[in-house]
Amino acid sequence: MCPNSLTAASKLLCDAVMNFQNTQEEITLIVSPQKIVLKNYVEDEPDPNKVMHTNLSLEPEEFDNCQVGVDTEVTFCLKELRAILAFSEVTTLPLTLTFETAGRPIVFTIDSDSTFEGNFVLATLADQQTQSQAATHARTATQKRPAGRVDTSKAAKTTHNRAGPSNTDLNHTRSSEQTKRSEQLASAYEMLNDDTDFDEMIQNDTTLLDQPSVEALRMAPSVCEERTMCTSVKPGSSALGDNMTVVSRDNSPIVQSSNKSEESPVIPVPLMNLRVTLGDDTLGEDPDEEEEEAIPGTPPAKRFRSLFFGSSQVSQTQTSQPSCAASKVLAEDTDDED
Amino acid sequence: MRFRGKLVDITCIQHFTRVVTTISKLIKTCVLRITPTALYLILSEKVVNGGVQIWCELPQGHFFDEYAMEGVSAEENEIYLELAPENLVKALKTAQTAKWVKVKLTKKHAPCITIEVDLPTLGAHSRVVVHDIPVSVVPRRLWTEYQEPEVPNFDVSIVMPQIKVLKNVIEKMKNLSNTLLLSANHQGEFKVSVETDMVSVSTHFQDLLNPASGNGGAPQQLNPSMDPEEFAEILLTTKWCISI
Repeated sequence: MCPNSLTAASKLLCDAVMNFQNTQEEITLIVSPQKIVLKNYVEDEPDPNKVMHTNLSLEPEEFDNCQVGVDTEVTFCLKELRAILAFSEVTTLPLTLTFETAGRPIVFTIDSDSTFEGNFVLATLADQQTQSQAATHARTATQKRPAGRVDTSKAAKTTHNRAGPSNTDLNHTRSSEQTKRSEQLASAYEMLNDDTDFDEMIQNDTTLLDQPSVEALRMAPSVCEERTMCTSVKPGSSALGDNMTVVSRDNSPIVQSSNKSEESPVIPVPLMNLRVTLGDDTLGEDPDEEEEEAIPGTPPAKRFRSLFFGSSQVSQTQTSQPSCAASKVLAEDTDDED
Repeated sequence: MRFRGKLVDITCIQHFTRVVTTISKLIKTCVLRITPTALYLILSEKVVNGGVQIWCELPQGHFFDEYAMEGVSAEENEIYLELAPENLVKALKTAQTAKWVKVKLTKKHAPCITIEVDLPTLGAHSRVVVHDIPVSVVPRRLWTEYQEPEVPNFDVSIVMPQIKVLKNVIEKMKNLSNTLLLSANHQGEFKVSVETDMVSVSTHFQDLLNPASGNGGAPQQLNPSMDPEEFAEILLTTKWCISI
């Protein structure tokens, strides 16, 4: 199911991660059959040319198991990884990374055969530029980068990270706690930028885990512009309701079918060339100022705040059925209970 | 413009790191001047009420095992780069146990100083970490701003006591006052004191060396009218003293 899998002694990863600054938020893992590269992730603003770049190469032979099915780059939170490594180093067990492509979650697994199994699921950034390999599965497209970049005709899965196939096999031992926490964190990530208090965010946004994605979209039949605006389709994201339009390239009935697809975000839709634009014209004028939406299961766009707070009053107009079994809830949301 | 240097000895790497760390604590950006014989870290702040001026000369033979550079032109075989020493420190921090460190001038997304660090590993594989520190090239017309400052004629030259001890003393004194009085004389005595309306505290160090000055000649010759036992004094702000 998951094309990429790396197993390494925790010490190897600890040593690798030590070379990055303590203040580094996110890290990019680039895999290819010849080598595995870790890079610090540099955001577009402030100027990436003014910031120090660090990268570190590892050879496949250094890993206990290195299986690279798809050459890919995934970006995820380094701070979380440090926490995971702090735990795994104590256990002295090897750590397994399973991931697919950018936008899909990455799972870190520690398996002590008899005692416990820990699965840590982290969201990864979906980056338009890194999706150079076409996802051949037809899914609704969500992109993160604003226009001005390469217009990809790629499709990325719009699912919440819970829906990832790797999750369905998880053992619900003590891992469920971490998984749920990571999911909440991932969903919290989606909603707000880093400046927001996560605890507050999770409490405020208890609807996230239940609502399907369809309510987030309002389909517009308008033809999309040449520039691609990137927004995300996210389950239960009320913040996107006002501004999101998902438009097909040829302005055809595909619009209708994708509507249905949102009811269950995992159902493949025959959309190879979906572009996503923001319906708001003022935003659309200036691609570089575009608000970016987070794709489900990815770290948030940094300029998300105004969209989120601006449209938090948008009510859910559609009451479709909850997501299908592929995105089953692995653990109940305990934050709702007081 | 090209520059390529390699540090192999671990003590050299650590020493270099310490120097750059000290500089980075004082200033946010500085100019790195690369010449065939040495590296210089220069800051000349032109502030009305006396900013900080730093001139740090690092002979390349002392640190580098391999060193090659090509300046902007054959006549002016030097390179001036503006960078943040903090970035350099961050990169060098990962190199404290390195097998070797290469420093190069490269152009990646922007002109960069690239630090390549080869870290020791348990297995047979080499682990190379690459850091790219963005720099900006200082144009030739501004080079005159970064000339070696003149050392003015001084009255006393003395080797300071152990910095650790001195630092402790000054840290305690900073609670008393903002200005600190440093005094030294030709007899190897050095005094650090603080004076307020309520109290005056001073710490004396003795038997320190009075080295001959760089200008040649015994210290007494510089200011013959000065009594060997007399103290030459300066006032400094305490905060600045501690940062050194």
